[in-house]
Amino acid sequence: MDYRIQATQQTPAYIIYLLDISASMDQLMDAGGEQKRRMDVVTAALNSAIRQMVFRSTKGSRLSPRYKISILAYSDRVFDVLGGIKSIDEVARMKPLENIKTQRLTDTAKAFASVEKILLKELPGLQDCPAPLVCHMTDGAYTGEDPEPVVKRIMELKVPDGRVLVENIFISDEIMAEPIADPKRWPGIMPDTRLNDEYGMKLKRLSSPLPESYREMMVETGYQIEPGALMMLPGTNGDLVSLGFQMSAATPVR
Amino acid sequence: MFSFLCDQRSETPINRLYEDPFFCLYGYARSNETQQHNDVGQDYLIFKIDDRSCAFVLCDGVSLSFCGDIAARFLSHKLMDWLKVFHLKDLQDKDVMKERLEAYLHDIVDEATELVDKKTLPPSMPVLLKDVLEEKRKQGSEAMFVCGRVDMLSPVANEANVFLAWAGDSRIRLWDQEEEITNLLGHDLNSNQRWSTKRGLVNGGLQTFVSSDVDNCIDHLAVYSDGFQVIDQFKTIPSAEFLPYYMSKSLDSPASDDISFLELLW
Repeated sequence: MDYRIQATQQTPAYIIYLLDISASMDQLMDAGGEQKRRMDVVTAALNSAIRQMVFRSTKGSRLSPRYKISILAYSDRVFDVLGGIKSIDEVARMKPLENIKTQRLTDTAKAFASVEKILLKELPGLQDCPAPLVCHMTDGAYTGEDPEPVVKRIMELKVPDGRVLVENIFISDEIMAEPIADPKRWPGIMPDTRLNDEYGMKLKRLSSPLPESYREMMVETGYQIEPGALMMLPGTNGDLVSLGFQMSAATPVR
Repeated sequence: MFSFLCDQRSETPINRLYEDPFFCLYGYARSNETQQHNDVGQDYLIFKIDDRSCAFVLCDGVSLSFCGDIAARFLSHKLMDWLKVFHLKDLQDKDVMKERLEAYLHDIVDEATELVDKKTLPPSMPVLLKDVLEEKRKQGSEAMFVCGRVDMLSPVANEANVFLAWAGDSRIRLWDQEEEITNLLGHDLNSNQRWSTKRGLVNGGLQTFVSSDVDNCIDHLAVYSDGFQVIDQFKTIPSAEFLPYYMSKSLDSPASDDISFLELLW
């Protein structure tokens, strides 16, 4: 239970991306000094995470299927963007995020219920693999039921490598008491970090502790996330959203 | 005279060899996944025995770099060429040898970069993969390595001068009769230390060792890549009868990696 199993062709890492596509995702946010739609920032960050997975999966000039991915987009309905679970070599041949359009509401509980259903079906085949990870990106409070019970159930699911990891990227302008000047030097959100937002506090409770193996990988790539940090990112700008998606792909590889 | 050069496209089962005064066991295997796809192995192993001297090089290509097999193959041949030119006297000063090797590893960068630039990629590959590989090409191909030379000091006794140089996490183990004395190397396994076709030595990792600096009489050594780490647990290297078992056990593991192995006794 220490998140040390390496992602390999035989034991791929499974990552589920859960993207809020409610209407507010059309609002603008800071991205490297310019204003961009939140949805465009997220799409770029997810594309960059997929690129990172490809980077970490090459063996010679071949792409080894070390990652399996699902991308679910949700508003008041849940959309399976990839049309099932795809391996990274399949995703590399697709342009999965080209036609995502924003919708109206934010039924987060329904979205996580879909994730739970997928995980319950897939977990028996993932017993030798790294613990699956659910990377949830949202920009505002849910509509519909409270997602907390279903997320807590998901966080209790486990494989020998560890419990299912839940990461939250919360796009918000004012969640942090102090702005984060340099994401590369940022220590991360700790369990006792105060957030200026009630929903942010809830998402913090619903975020897994960052495994040490993931933290080591992030330190190797130049970040200074400290031990004890949670898998939660305040998406106050494009860099932090990107950091959140990079974190999701930091499974140890050979 | 005997020389062995691995074939990166096939396996060399554990072999025994006696070439006076050296008794050797050696083998090479690609990782399970690489064999399944009939790809090129990323390790390289080469050794030569001639006139009571044995020179060897083991390189472990970094699979996250651009085609690690290129760096492993290129560096192996270059290091073998380099090892051959020295007189025994030169090989007894580890600091001078370290300086020379650092300079040499820097000097071969241009030739290596040219080789990497010439590597063509299959035209059918996905655009994203091609993009990523081109990005990696700019960073170069990388390999960890261990190389060395054992020169017999007397025509009758088994006293020898052992020179070793390494960067990375490949295993090097030494014995004085039955006693393992690997700790004399101060060997720090660090996979961040490697040689790059673009940047030369990375993370300042070059280390050298000469037996004339220690009191022990080394009569046995083994080098192997981390793909064979299953044998780290044994105080002595398993016999030729058991090594194939441990080799296939390593290859059966989901995280199986290429294996290069050489054991040398004199």
